[in-house]
Amino acid sequence: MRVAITAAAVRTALGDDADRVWRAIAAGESAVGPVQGFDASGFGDVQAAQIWTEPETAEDDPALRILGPHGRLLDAVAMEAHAAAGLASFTREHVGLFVAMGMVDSPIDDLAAAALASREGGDAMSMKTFFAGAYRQIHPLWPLSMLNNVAAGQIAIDLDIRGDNVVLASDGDAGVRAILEGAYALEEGSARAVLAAGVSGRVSPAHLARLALDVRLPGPACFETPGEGGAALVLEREDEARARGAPILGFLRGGSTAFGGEAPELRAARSAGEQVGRSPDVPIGVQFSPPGIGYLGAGGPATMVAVTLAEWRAHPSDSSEARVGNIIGTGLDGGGMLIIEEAV
Amino acid sequence: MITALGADLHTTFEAMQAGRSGVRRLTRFDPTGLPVDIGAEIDVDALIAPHALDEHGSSELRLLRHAAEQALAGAPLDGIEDRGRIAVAIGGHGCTPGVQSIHTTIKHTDADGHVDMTGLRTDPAFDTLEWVSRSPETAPTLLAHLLDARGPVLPVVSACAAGTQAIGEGLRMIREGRADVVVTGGAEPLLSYSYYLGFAILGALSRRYSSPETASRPFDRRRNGFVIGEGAAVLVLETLAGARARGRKILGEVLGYGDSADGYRITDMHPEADGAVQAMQAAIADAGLTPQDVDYVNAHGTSTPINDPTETLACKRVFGERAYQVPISSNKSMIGHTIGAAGAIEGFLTLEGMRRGILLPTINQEAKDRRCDLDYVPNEAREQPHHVALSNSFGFGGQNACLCLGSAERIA
Repeated sequence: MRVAITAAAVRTALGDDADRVWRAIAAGESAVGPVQGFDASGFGDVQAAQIWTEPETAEDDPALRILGPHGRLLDAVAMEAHAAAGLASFTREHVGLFVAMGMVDSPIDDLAAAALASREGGDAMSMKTFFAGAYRQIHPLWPLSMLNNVAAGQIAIDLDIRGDNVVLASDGDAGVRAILEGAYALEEGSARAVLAAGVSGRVSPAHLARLALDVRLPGPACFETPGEGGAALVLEREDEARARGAPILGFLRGGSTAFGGEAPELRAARSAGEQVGRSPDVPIGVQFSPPGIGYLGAGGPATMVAVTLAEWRAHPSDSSEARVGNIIGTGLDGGGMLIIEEAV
Repeated sequence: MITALGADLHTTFEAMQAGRSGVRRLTRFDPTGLPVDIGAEIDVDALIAPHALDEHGSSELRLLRHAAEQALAGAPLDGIEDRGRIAVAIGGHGCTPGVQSIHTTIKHTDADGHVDMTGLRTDPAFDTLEWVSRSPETAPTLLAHLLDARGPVLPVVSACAAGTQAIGEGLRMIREGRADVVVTGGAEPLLSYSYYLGFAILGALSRRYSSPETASRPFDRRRNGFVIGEGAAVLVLETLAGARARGRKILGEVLGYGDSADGYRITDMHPEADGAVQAMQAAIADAGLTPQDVDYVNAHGTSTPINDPTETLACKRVFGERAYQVPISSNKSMIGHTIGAAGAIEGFLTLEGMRRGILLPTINQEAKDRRCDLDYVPNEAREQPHHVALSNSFGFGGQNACLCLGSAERIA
């Protein structure tokens, strides 16, 4: 596999483009701080790298109701990457979209008004009162916010792309898988260009509750600091990208995901290493989510691909040999690895 | 398989062949006051044997596990030494908060709607695990654990297209050699309080019906919305050579897969059915066939005012004049719309229909709609050999997916 990466767009708490995020990381900056936007004291001294620090009032904004903040972030990076790669010239049926979407929770906050209106004495909520009419206080577009696929549908509308449209949930290994599925779609010929994207969940009470019950094995500290953000990559077959004169930022050389058992990341790494003829015992260079932007979950792999390519651009190699890097994504007892290569 | 009509494929198929509906007035919670009070509900406690995971697992997992046990009885994974070659691809979208969760949360919510997380987390009634078990990757992940499957795990969350996309992605994994076996399908525990409420608020559900059994009426002029159903189906995909080597009973073949985006509106299909046509044509082409080869279409057929004429138009665009000779039917007329599981259930029923030489009917066909003028196998099942079929799934949000399926007899 040698798939060209012809555009990348990034949003993290450290900045809105890959070069800036890389410079900030290299300078040791961190966007991690106390959780804002809601009272997180129930979770102890939890910190996060947030983009969305204020509760959103979505009453009159259908886009907020339909997509939620991370859906809109996904839409934004997809549009930016699409424009940067010049995909508007492609036949729309030939442009696919593979998305890893962080947890889209049904926001209980949105039910609060109706539920509070259904209280009957003390703390109890009367379902009879709720169904008898209090439920009408719930916004009619609320149900859409529960569907993980709506953001991908909206991107297809906004970009007028009609190819594969697949949404995977919802952690770091899904972020790896979305990029790999995109690459496979190119190999199979079901798409001529692919937007492969991922976005984290929002740092919310539900998100923190989930992390508080983290069943994953203990990992690096950055796994315990939630971050918000995501990225979109444009993937094309190398020969086609070169033929149309597209700027090539780097290459996707291979990748794999594995699940369960001991160290699925290592098994994925071994499998991915075999694809590029490298011994798994030889460290190639690994990119986790840097602590400064927190753990981005489903948005992590695409973000780290973009940031690593930016790092290579910022520090050109003296060697004629292209650098190779690994991007790791971890999930609920699963793991994945992407192998990317510098464009020289 | 498990649906409102039965706890396995055989029972479900026989009931559908007899034209029975699984739609009833809801019993899981009291919907009095809502504009709709019906669904194709599964009595989970009566039909599914208890399991150690039930206490903390989601209802999605219970359905999925039940379906998987049946599938693996016919295609056990015991002999596969390299567990990394077993992948799992499941359509669904997790679960929404249950009544207890909402009750408990509201108890710690002030008049401005702010949740006191300290109070909530220390409330004995607060089930922290519920937040994890509802997540869309949890049920597929736990299923993979139960199966000791260590290859890729794909939780596909494309709403109504998810089950079909999961099978399609499974097909791709097998073809490309990324897995030897893919356990695939979908599960839908939709008849939970908050999901039901959501679709009721959205106005997508049928509200006018003389009886629950007649509410889901795809392609009929008096259709006025879909009926929510629950269910799950699991299939085991292998290469033909692998299945033969392992001595499997072959149920049929996944010949091709196509998917597309409407790119039109989140809540409406493209009026010219562009996305649906693209997915159907892609599935046929992926199978190396032509529209002339297709004997039957298992329709998405939701019973909504927009889907059914649009899908009819899609069939006419794909098949041309021959559309009038290709039977089309909607399983949703009897088991409701099982959203994330629909593609898997309907794909499995399509394979079984080919095996038996039976076309399942679309029930509740009473009033002709001039825009829906194809052969929908109205009201009664039909004995008719058929060997190549399409199974359509068109997602709310604009994702379209189609499988091209072949009979086992055709392989022989």
